Amino acid sequence: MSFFLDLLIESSVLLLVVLGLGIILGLMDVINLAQSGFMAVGVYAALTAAHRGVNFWLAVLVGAAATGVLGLLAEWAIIRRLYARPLETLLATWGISLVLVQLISIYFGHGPQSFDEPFVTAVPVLGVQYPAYRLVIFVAAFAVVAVLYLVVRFTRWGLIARMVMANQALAAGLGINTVRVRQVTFLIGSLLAGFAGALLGPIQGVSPYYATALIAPAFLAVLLAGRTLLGLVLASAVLAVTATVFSRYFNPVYATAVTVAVAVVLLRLFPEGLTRWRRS
Amino acid sequence: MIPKRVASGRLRAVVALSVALVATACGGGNSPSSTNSGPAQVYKVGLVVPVTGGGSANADPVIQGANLALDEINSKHLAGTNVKLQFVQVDDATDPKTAQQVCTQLVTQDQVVAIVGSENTPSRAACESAIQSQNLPYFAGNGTGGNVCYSNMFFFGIAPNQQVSPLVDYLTQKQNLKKFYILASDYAPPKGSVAVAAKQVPADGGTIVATTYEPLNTSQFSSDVAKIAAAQPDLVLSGLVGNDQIPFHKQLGDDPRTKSIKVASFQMNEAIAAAVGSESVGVFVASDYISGDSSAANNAWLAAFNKKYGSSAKPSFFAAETYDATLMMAAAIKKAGGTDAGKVISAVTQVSVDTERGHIVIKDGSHGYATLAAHIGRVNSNFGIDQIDVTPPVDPVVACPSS
Repeated sequence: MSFFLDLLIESSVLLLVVLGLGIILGLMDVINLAQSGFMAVGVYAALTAAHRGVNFWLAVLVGAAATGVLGLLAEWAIIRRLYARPLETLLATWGISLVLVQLISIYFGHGPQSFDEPFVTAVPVLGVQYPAYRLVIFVAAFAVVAVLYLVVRFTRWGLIARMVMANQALAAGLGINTVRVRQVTFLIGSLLAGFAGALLGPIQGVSPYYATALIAPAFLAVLLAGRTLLGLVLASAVLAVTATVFSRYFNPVYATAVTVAVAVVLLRLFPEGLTRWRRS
Repeated sequence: MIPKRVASGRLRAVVALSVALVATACGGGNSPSSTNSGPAQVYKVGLVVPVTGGGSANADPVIQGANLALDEINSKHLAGTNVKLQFVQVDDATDPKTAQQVCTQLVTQDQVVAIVGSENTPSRAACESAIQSQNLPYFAGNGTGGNVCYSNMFFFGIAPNQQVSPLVDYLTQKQNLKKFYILASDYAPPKGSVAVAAKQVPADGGTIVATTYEPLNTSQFSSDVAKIAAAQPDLVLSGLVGNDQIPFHKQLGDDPRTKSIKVASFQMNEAIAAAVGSESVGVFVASDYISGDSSAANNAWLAAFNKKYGSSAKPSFFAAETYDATLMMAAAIKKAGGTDAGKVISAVTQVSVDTERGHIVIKDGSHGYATLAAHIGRVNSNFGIDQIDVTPPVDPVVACPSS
């Protein structure tokens, strides 16, 4: 049963990282290489607040907010001017990530930082004792997915976002401010990146090169997802389960290679994404 | 082929430094004919540090240790002469290609007389390829897996046998821990340490229930925690490196199945312990330096370190190794009577320094590795490391590819 919980948590960790990336790619066609930089900003803002006595959960929200503000700034100053040029967008977001990492290094130093969990306890789940904070990560991932689904499915903004995603030119022709939609989308993606960074900080090593180990599988998951929320959930689960099972029962050194191989095979079988076969 | 301007520059350096050092050796610190007259002659030494990239977490203590030593060299050992040593610090970005570029720059543009470095294995090899033509001496402020050997390179970090064997001896004999689970990074130095442990543990009457490697930059250890929980060893022997240690110790310590299992680490230092937090308390450490060493030499060194760097001081083993490497460089140059690379390299095995780590010497036949004592420690509740045992100096056992 612990193993099943491990699979659930590993999938949740990857899903939290993937959500911000997936939102931005799905709506804006922007591959945000600044994701790891945004996550680093989130965790450093959160731990700064926590070290100043702010409650842990508030500190996580501070991290998300700080990253959201940064995302707004980056979108206004740089990304907005490059929407029609996807390769330049890649370069620009990569450059943003480099700058963020170096700024963090200059201000906080290169060494690791401490960011303690709000509680170190285990709770009984399905007959086993399991670390409580790791369960919080699962709950958070589930909650974020639920909120995003409800917003996209049942709100006016969600309808607008789906219209822009389906046909941006037509949406603009109907009077929708597509610039504002993109701005809000990038804000939400940045908020999610900062939230993920801050929430995962207590179980990761916090340094300027934070979360780099999670970014590569996150991009694979986004490619597999097919630009749907369900796709993001499925892709995260498939890749996390593959890596965890292979690490557990075979050789961890090759788990990454096997995960990539599985992703390549699935992309070959489902080129439009894991959920697109239903439409075709 | 040495460029003419490099060769002529070096010749001037050799002559001037030789005059200054001879004057000093003759007690001529105050000799009016050759010292203290005119501006100081500055000789450049390359300092290669991973300021950026994955190895950057160790950059600060390395830079601090090297510069503390340089201050001491210039203010004490070269006092009374008009010679100064100056670092030219470069960043290898924890990347071999960058390392080769910056080391080439040190040789051709900065015309350094020696290099002090604290690089990872691939970057150091790349730097060596850049300096090999000049046969520049390279004083490495870190260790290896015990299988890296260059005729112009000297290592002041620990070789696996100097760390692992004493640690395993202590754990089996003084802590009565017999059942070991080994988890290490898939990287040369930890693998060398694991190879030594694989022999030492059974030799000390213990058993190894499993050995697992994880790639570098791993942050999710649920599989390893599950395997450790299933094996229920007396101790986990961790060879994880860098920041990978942080999530591992946190995840191991948070899991109720494994939180009471003892842990020993080849790589834990004060900064990592503080970043891990409460889960690091009680972890056994074996190192060539522990800041909790209560010897007079270490206390004096710590006082000087803290005085220079104040609240940003990071006197870890990275700092100590680079400090000693820099002092040995200066001692070798002094013994050689100049900066001629061949003479300096030959002089290294003829000198020694007494530092915070004790008497540091590189013996003939050691392939450039220092003889070092092993310090056994344990992380305390303030995330410092208390020293609980120390061995006599241990000669390195090195398996050079050509030996």
